[in-house]
Amino acid sequence: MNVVVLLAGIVDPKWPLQALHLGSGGVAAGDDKLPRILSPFDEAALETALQLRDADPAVKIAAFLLGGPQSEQLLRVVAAFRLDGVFGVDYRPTHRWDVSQLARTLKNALDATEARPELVLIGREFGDCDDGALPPYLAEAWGWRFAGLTQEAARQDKDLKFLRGRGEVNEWLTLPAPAVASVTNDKSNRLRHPLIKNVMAAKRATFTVISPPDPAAPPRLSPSAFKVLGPTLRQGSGCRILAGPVESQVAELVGFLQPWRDVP
Amino acid sequence: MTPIARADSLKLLVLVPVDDTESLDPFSAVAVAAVIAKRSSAAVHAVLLGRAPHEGHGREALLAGADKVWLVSHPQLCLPVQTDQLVLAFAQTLSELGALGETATTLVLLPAGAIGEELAARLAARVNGVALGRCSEIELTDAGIVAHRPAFGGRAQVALAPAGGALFAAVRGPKRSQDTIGCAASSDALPHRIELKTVLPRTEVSYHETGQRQARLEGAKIVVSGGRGMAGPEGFALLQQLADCLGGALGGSLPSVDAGWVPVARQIGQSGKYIAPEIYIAVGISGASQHLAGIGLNTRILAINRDAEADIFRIAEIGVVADWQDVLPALIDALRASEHPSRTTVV
Repeated sequence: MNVVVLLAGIVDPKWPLQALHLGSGGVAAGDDKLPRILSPFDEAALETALQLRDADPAVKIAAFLLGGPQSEQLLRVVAAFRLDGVFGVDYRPTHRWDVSQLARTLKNALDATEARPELVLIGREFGDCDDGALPPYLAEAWGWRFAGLTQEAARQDKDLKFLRGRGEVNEWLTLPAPAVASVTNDKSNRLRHPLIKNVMAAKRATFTVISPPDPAAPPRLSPSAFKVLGPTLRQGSGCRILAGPVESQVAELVGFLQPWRDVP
Repeated sequence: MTPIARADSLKLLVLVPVDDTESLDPFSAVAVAAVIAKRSSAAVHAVLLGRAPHEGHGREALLAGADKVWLVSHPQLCLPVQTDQLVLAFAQTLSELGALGETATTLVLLPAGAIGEELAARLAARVNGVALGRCSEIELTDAGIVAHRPAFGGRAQVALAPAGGALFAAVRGPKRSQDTIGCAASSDALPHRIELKTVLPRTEVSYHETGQRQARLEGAKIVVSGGRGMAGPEGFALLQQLADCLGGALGGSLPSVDAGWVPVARQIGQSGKYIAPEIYIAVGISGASQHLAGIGLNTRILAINRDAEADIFRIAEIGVVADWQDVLPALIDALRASEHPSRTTVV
């Protein structure tokens, strides 16, 4: 089975975003200069693919990382998992907010490499500019079946099975291939550490970067304003920090919570 | 880029999958549309789809601010809901109603949540529309529709201007009160009924009980939540005891889910559930914006964290700067004692 993992990368959350600002057509300067890492959802998607390969060594995995030549460092991180192909996908900054353009760019990248996956795994949120719309949009635009917010994937004969946790109940969905599955973080899909020898090999690897097709269609969604936020200001005039011994603080907490305990 | 069409060429549609039991308030999307409608001459059309939507659903939509309501039924719709079916059924309904294409811009809203957000994106793709994502606010300005949503993990806010056409967004409205949105008095207020008959696909789904019997996050008045600072599952066991004492539900931040201390179904935040309890007790949670994005703005926050500089104390109402290992057992004991003064408790 051929599996493709679509990876976006995110700006390292430890780095401040103050350098970001709205350039022409989209967030520009500073964005590509900030260090990038795989998001928890990128990692979950990659680990899910690796687990499929663990179960069947005949599974082939190709990863496509959004970001172009400046993402070389992150490409090496991905390559350290000894995949069958690791590709960079360049894209137009003006398209980063338009999921229809991104879906087209990603499909073009798969076609350019003649990747014919039966399964595409993608994190539930694709990068810093997506809040979850891209995976289902992409599946529908490609005419593929979609399983959202999955935690595990498995193959059963010609079908694909996906696990979703729903609290009291777990669901196993069965879909025919080809399918797109968005993957959410779970303890079962925490990304493993790569072998050191593969990390060293990845340092010497070269990567193909696929460019977007020309001519470019104009974006249908563009940012008109962008603002880096501080801590959220909510209602209230500030936090009352309790003082005194723990016992007295606990007594205050009990008093504070009492009205909600009295309500059935 | 051509600005969007004027307000008077805007159509407002709200699609509500009434059988989605995970949505906190499915009709809040109607309320959001009603606010937008006040700035334009557009009417709010609510399409309520389910196996058997009833008059009560119609009344809810009208009370939330719909001007026209369609109750669309399809007997083949599965319960629990299957999004493949809902996508086809909504698409067919939009086609039968001729809902798209009449005006320069049609704004289609769905309730935020896993189902609504997936439907919004898939329907946008199906009709070659624009997916706006999960929006914290949608406004109608003189320049047209502007959709606001978080970006960069909730650390930034972006305003997006679409080029027109069919726009699809998932939205979460404020808590609704009946005295702010009224019911339309015209005869158009009576719901119209549509029964769909197309054959719907059926996804093979098997269900397995997890054995978890904890209170649901959705609708909980009190939520007790832990973060990275809990440092392990033992801390979450104490949090569960605290939640049980208070009749509340247990939640966790993304790092605590990643660590396997709490299941992903209990993850709260931008990439998890959105909740709006009356009280949120945040233990060992730093207060990152991605997490806070999952908590209602009117929720009162009580924070316990040993780091006095933690961001959570900027937005909490009450703060305890202490180690949870010192506070939680004492708090649980005190709560139990106040309920049963003669009872001796061993934690």
